[in-house]
Amino acid sequence: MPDIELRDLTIKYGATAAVSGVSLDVLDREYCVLLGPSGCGKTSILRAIAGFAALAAGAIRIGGRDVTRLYPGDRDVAMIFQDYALYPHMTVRGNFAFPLQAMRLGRAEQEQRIREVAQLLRMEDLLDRYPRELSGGQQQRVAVGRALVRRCPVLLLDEPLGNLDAKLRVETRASLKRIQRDLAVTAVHVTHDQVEALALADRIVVMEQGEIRQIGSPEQVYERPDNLFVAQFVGTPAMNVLPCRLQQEGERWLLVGAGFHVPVEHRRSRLCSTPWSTAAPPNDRRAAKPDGPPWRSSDLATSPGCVPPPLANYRDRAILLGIRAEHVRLAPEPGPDYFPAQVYVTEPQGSEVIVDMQVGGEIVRARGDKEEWAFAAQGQTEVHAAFPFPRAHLFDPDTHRRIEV
Amino acid sequence: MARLKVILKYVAALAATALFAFPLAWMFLTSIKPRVDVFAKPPVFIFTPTFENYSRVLDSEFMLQLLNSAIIAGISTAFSLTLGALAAYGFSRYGRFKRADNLLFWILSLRMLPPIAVVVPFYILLRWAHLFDTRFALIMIYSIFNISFAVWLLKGFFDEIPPQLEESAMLEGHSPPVVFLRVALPMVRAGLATTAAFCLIQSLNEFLLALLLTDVDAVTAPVGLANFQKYFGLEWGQFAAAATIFVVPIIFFTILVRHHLVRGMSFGRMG
Repeated sequence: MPDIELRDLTIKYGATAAVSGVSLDVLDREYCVLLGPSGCGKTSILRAIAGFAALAAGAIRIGGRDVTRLYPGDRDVAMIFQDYALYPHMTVRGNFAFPLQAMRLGRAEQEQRIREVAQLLRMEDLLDRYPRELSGGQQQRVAVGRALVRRCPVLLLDEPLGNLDAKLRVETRASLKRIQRDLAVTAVHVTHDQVEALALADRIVVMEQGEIRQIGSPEQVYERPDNLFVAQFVGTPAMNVLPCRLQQEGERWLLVGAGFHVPVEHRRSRLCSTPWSTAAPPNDRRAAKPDGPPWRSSDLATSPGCVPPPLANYRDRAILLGIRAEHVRLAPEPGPDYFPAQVYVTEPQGSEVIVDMQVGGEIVRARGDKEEWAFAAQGQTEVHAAFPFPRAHLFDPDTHRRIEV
Repeated sequence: MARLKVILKYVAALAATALFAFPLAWMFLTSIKPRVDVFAKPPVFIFTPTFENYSRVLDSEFMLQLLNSAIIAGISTAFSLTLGALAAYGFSRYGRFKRADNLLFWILSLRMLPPIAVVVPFYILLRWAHLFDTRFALIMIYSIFNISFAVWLLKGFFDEIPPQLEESAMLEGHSPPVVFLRVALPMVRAGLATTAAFCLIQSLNEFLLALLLTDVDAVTAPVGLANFQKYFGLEWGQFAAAATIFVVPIIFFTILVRHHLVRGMSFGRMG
C-alpha cells in the first residue's frame, strides 16, 4: 500500500503554476528524492505534503488517510528544514521537548525520548546549549533530532544538507540514510544536488518546470534517462550531447556528426529491422539464442545492413547523441572508429582526470583514469576519441525523448 | 590624524551631551537651592542645599498626579502592546489580503491627527459618556495613539522572523495561538521593549489632552507641573523638585532600554 499518494497536485502562486498535475506514490519505508533545478516545484510538493502550500487542485493521502485539508500538525509528518528552523530562544533540550509538549506526553516519557534522540545523534553533552552556541553540523543534528523525537512515520527533508560543507555533507548523508533505515520511516527528500540524490534514494523523481520528467531508481535515472533533461541534469560532469544523423555507409549504419561517427551496434541481430536492410538477413548463430539479459556484452555486435527497429524511423534524420564523460574513450594513436580531438584543458581529480576537448565544433568532456590517460594530461593536444555505441544515449531532437535501442 | 579625529569626535559628543544635559542639571540644582538663591544674579553654584522643596512636594497633590501618570501610562502601554502585537502579527502573517496596505495606512493615519483637532470632540464625547476627568478616558485615548504606533513598529519585528520557525511549530502539532505565544512573541522581545519604551514616554509626556480632559481626579504629572504656576507667581523651587521627581524614573528607564531604543529607531534598515 502506498504510504504517500499525491493525486493531480497543482499548486499556483498567483497566475503561475509551480506544480502542475503531479501524481506520485511514495512507497512505505522508501527513501524518495525529489530532484530538480531551483524553481522546478520540488519544494512546493514537499510543502504541500506538510500542509503549508495551498493546493489549486489535487489530493494528498498519507497512509490511506486523506490529509488534503488537515492542519499541518494533524498529519503526523515531521520535517527537516534547510535552515534548520531551530528555536533560538530554547536550548537543545527545549527544542527537542517542544514537539513533545504538543503531544501532551508525561514528563518521564518526554525525558526518555529526549535521551534516546540525544544518544542516537551523540549530542548528550550539548543538551543545555543554545542553537547559536553550536556549529553548523551540530545545528543540523538538532534539526534531525527534533524531527525524529515525535516518531512520525513520514519524514520530509528540504535540502537538509545544503548548508553543510562538502566533507560534513558526505558524512551526514550516510547517517541520514542509516537513520531512515533503522527507524523504518518513509522519507521524502528535496534536493538540487544529483550526487546527493544518487547516493540516498531508493527512487528518484526528477522534476522540471512543475512536472515530473522521470521516476526511477538511481540506476535507471543514471543509465537510462527518459529524456534529454534528465540525461543532462543527472551526472557530473553533465552528459555530452551532440547532434548527428543516422546514415548508411556501405554495409554499416553510422551516427555521423561534425567531426565524429559512431557505428550502430545492436544486441540481437534477429531484432534486425528487415524493411530497411539492404543486405540479406544476417546469418548469425546468435540469432537462434533465446532472450538473455539485455546487456550481455557477447550479444553486442555490428550487424551488416541492419539498424535496431526503433532507429529505423530515423534513417537520414537528425538524432541527438548523448555520451557521459566517463564513457568517452581516448587513445594516443588513431584506431578504427576513433576520430581526432583537440585537448583544451585537463583537470586532475585525484585518481581521475577530466579532459575538455574539441570534437568538430563542440566541446566534449571525458573522464578517465589518470594513468591510462597520462598522454592527454602531459600536453599532447592531438588525441583520438571514440564513443562506444552501447554507452550512447539517443534522443529525438524534437521531443527530446529517449530512443530506446 | 586618525587619533585627532577620534579625539575631536569625543569632544563634539561631550559638547552635545553637555548642551542637552544642562537644563536637567539646572533643574536639579534649582530644586535644592534655598528660596533666595533661585533668583540670585549672577547665578550661584555654591550654596547650602536644602530639601525643603522636596518635602513640600511630597505632601502636595502632585503625588496623586504622579500616581495618575504612572497608572495611565502603565495600563495604556500594556493595552497597546497586547493589541498592537496581536494586530501586527496578523498583518505580518495574514496580511496578503486585498487592501491590507490601505488598512495599515489607516491605522497609521490615526497618529497623524494633531491632538488639538480632536480635543473638543473628545471633550463632548467624554462629558456625554460621564467619563470626563477619569483615568479610564485618558487610558483609552492614549491607547488609540499608541496602538497605531505599536502595530507599525512590531510588524517590522514580526516580519523578520523566518517563517520556517512557525511552520515547524505548526507541523509539530502546536495550534496557532501557541505558535504565536511560544515562538513568535519570544523572538520579538527586543521589539516589545522598544515599543513599550516609546509608548510609556509618549503617555507620560502628553500634555494637551490631559490638560483639557481632566479637572481634579485624573490630572497627570505634566499638567500638575503646569499648575505650580499660581495666581501669585511660580514656586520655582517646588516646581523644579516636582519636575525632578517626575523625570528621574524616565531617565532610568531610558538608560535601561537604550540599546533597544536605538535598534527600534533604526528598524527597517536592519540586515
